[in-house]
Amino acid sequence: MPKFSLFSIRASLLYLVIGGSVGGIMLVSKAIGVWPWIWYWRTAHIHAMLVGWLLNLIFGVAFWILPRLDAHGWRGSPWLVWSASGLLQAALAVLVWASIWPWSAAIAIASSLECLAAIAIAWHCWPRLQPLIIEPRPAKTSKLD
Amino acid sequence: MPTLARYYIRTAFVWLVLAFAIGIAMLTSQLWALKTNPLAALQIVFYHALMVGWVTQLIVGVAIWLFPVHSREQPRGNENVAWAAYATFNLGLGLRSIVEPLLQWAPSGLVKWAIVGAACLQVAALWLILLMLWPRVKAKVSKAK
Repeated sequence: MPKFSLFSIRASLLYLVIGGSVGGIMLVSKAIGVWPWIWYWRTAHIHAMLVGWLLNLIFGVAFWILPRLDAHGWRGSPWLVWSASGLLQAALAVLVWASIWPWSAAIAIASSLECLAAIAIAWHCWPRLQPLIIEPRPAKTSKLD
Repeated sequence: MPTLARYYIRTAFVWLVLAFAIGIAMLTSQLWALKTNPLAALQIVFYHALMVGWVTQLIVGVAIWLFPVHSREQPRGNENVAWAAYATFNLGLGLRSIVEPLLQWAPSGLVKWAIVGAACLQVAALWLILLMLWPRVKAKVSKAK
């Protein structure tokens, strides 16, 4: 598994447990009326699960598993996927920040960052979405020859 | 495909069917033209059946199957952790799906504490999933000596 995929998939697992734990606290709050402040974190919970968990996982698995660009296993320049990931983490950081200190522009800024991340990952993946190209190996010479 | 992955993926399909059944019930109930629609309480159950029961469980099932193996002796790591995650995940989500609408329909102390129990089971399941998958997100498949 390449370095970017390791980072992205591990980040996605962390978002799953952190976002899910926030959701669990929200559910407890709904049932017994404790910690009402947790409801400010609702948007952050939804984004952590839909963007942090799902998109990070998809980015990581896509970079790892999509067809390579040549017979040497070149996946393409990784700067685009790292940029996509950076934009995604920045969007999530903005949302978490805005959950704690409400900020009216947060949703617009976070959505714009997520949109840029989508463009970057699409740009990286586009040339890799092709039939598998494997250059034929030179024919082996038999030991008997 | 390993037995574990089959259980996760088949159960994910069960949640998909349940989610659509709930969706159909909610949409049909809008035709009754009631002042307050009691099935509106199922909306949160619908979202979680779809995104947690179906999407997340399918992803975890496929990850168990396709992620790099942990070791030759234990290709999927400690399977007890994976089975514990499976049980807590589905018990938590199932219990939540039953008791969360009851909080609106027939609230009681028992319902409230059942929701707290469901929340704890769901959060525990996510941490067990992290424990199960984290060691399998790695650069190379380790080979037994």
